[in-house]
Amino acid sequence: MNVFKTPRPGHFLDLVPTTALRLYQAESLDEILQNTVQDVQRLLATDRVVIYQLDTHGMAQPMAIAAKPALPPLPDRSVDLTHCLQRWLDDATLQRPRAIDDLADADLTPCEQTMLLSLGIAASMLIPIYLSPDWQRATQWQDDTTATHEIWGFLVAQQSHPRHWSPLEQSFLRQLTQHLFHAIQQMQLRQFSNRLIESSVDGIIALDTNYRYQVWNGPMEELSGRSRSAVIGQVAWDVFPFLKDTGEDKLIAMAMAGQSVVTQNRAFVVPETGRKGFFEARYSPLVGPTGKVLGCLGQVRNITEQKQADHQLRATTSRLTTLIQNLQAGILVEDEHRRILLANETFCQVFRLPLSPEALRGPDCENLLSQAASLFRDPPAMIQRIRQVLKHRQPVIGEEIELADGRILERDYIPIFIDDDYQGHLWQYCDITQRKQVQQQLEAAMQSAEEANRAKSNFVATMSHEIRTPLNAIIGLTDLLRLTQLDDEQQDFVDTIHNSGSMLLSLINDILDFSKIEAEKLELEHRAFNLRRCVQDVVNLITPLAQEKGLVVRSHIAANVPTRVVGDVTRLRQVLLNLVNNGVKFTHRGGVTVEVSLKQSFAPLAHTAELHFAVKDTGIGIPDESRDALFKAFSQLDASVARRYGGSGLGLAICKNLVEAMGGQIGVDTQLSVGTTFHFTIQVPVLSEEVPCSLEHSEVDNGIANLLADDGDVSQVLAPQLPLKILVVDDLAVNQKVVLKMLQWLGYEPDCAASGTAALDLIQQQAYDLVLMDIQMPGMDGYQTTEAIRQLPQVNPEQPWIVAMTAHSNLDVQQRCQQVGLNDFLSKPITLASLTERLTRYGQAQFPDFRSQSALAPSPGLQLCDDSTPPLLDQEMIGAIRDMAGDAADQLLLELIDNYREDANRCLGQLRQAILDRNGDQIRHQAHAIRSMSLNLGALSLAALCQDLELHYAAMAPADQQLALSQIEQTFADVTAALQSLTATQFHA
Amino acid sequence: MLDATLAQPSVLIVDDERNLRRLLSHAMTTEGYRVETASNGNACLGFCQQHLPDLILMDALMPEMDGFTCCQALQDRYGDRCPPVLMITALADTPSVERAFAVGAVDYITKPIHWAVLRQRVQRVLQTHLITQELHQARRTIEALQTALGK
Repeated sequence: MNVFKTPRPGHFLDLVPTTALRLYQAESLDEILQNTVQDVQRLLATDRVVIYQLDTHGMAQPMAIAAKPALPPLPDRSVDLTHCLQRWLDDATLQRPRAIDDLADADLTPCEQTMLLSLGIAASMLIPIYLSPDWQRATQWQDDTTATHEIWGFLVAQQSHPRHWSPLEQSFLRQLTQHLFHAIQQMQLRQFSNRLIESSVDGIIALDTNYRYQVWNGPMEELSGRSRSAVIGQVAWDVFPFLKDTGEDKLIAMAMAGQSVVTQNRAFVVPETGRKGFFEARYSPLVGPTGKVLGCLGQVRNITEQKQADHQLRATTSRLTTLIQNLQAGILVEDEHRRILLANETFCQVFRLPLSPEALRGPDCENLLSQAASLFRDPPAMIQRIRQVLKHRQPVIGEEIELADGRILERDYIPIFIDDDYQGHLWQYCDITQRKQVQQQLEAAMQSAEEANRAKSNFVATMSHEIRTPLNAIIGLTDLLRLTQLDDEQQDFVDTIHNSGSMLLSLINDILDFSKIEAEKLELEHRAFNLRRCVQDVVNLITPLAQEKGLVVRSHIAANVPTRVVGDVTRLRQVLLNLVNNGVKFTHRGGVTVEVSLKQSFAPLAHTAELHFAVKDTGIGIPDESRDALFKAFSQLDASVARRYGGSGLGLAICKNLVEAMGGQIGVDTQLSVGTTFHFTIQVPVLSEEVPCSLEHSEVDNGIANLLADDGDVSQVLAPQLPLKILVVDDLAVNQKVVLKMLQWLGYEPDCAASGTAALDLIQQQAYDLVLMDIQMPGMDGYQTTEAIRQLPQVNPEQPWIVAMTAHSNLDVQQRCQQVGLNDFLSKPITLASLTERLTRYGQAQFPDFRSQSALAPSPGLQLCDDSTPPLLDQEMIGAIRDMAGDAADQLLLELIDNYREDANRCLGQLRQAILDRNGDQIRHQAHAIRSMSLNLGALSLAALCQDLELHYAAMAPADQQLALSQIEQTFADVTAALQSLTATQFHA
Repeated sequence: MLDATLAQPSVLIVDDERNLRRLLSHAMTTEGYRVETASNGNACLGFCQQHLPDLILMDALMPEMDGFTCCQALQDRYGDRCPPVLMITALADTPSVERAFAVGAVDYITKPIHWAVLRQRVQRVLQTHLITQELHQARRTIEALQTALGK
């Protein structure tokens, strides 16, 4: 903007004030500098005017340029003036502009020469611009004190052609630069003051005497929501009417009158956002240089957050105090110097202090402790303990303290830390006297309950033994009585007595089983067994009962169900028997079917399978409402059922527990008058992969002798006739009598001993072939007696064969029997059938040629022994062959295996034919041959199966022989596979 | 008279089972004996008519002629000259053991065969047998001398 016309020469100095005014009125430094160069360029009619600012390294930065296009442009970058500077500074100290009229004949430094030439300049005038380093003090420009000033920069006028710089022009520029210096200083001051105001965290306001805002900084904008432009120049209460309501106007007036005042907790609302808050303000008079009040300065601080925090703290404190005052525990809080900060009412009550909690506050706690010490049972120990706890500053929780008056307190010590800084601690005392009493009573009650339970268990165990003994006699003797000459009515009576006894026994067994399960004393066996045989046994056992009612019992085992599995066959049989028996009991037409399927097949390597059993009947069904109670103990559906069908009501509860113990679940589907299906699963390890038996459907074979004790037609049993000396050892006369009578009936003349000692005496006097030994006897029991017999000096080279008679047949008993040297055992109640069976077994063991002519079927007791399947391949035996053969072992084994396969296959074929031909001798012969050759290679399980057939074939029905054959074939396949893998892994590895 | 350095002792194995025969002959061959085999009692008797072995390993249970019968027959036929018979019986078969001794077997081993036991028994029986043979020979020599002197 061209304000000035080109002046006439000589008028420059008149123009200085006008130009200077423009400098002072400028709003920014840029504006000042730009105005200056434009004015100078115009006034001097020069080609270019530049203002450089010097930095600390002597580099000059062009800050403002006014130029005609006659000159080449200035270099973009700052110009290095270090070399020229010295000369110019010299000039400057002399208060002389550096004026060069013509480059050609001037006395120039090389630096000036280079620089001016490069810029195409012929004439130049340079005037330094000074600045007080201490500009804040606003010292006045002093001509003679240049030394205290530093150079801010230069003003340079340049001409492309030579020119004479008149003294007038030089003077003009000198005066102008002085004004420039002041303008810059003023600008810097203004900027500083603005920064000062804006840098404040607090809001800063200034009001003039008319209460109009003159200053309004950023924090005020934020606090009020009003921008600076909206407020500046406005009367305070016009913008914020609330100031009058809060009396702010009067305070501001007081400040105007020369007082400093403070306001606190003033509420405010930001109108735009509705934000509420609190501020505090200080108002002070704004005093001018003359001491006259120019207005009011206000410092405003937003204290909203502080207020909120403060409020929260007070609320929290108040809540905590209330809580502590009302706690059931006595609380004492001390500071780090053990001065009491806080106590509650309960604390005073606990320690019987005749003071209010407030009165405790303040003094040292030591005094209180010494006062209260007498309350404790052992005051010195207590004081000692407190000191110890305080020293460690570790929380101590639940320490019990006995008071002299018998009360028991529970004490907690909790140290209080703020950022690792120990601030004191808290004691908490609870009166637990009552709780302790209750606890003691409870413990006493528990103890007596446990004692009662033990007593009950003992009672049940004792009673069961006591009940079983006479029952054994009842069952055993009626068994014998039935063989005597009876008329129809007597026969009926005897049968009834026998059946009732059996029923009673099964009831007692149920109760014993259940109490065993309840006491979690149930142990499951893990032995290999034949699943198909187990199911068949159950069907066989129940069939006679079913036939009486005109019912059919069938079993169906799916083809993929493994034959040989590992588990507790006795318990599985028990569950199946119970369910099938139930089915028969509650069915009047149709029948019961047992179905077995493979529910879930796991990865072949896992070797476990989940078997699914379903026992379906076509019976009366179960009403819906009774279904839940079905598996609970002692819950037959109603009393009339018990009367009509009998039973303990424990059967299903036992089944449920057994199934669950075998890793499965039991359930029931039922429809009234249609039938009921009980189904359950069990988890079993599978022994080996195999082809299932060919007997997928097996109808009950009537030829198989049935084993129900109450239905055994023992009159058909023919005893094996061996000339045996037999000794019966039993402390109870009734038991002696049963066994004695049975043996007599079988044609023996046994001796009796009523104790272990008596038995020992007899055995030393006379050689016995067979001893039947009761296990539970007073004094020397059966185990001890057996051990003593085995240790006798040899009276007779042949020691007796000793058979244990016991009511228990669990694993422990079996192991124990083996340990002490018992040969066999006989489960009570002893029946004629089971006794005969044991005699037969003895005969076979002692005299291999002896074969019983009796048509005995294996009894359930026998199964226990038969199920202990020996290993498929005895690795030891293979190992022994290898050791013997040395280097040639591999070759030899290959040859042996080939021979074995060939020979055994031939024998199996002949065995199969022999069974079809019912050629007993041939069956025995081939079974023996296979057994013998299998033994050579350590195929023990196969050998055992063959031996079973070899010994029992005569007593077996053709179907059973078939079953045995298929097992043998099965196992033979396993053995060859195992041998094959032996050769594969060991010979060609 | 047999000289162990000139000829190894010979063992005759009598068993109806192919594999057991194979195993036994392997074990005996390994021990350095000359081995012959027979699969039943009759074959054994036939073999002995040709040549008497130094020891016979005989299975007790065989079809047709069992070990006991065969052993008895050998005793009857050869008396003092009868080679020692080791009877092979089942483990728990006590009556068989008794029968074996009754028919003249010198010892027995049980099935399953403990190979080390077999080796030891065979060795011991053979030693006893060879010494006995020498003794018989010596006695015969003495008798012959006495007869010559008496003349």
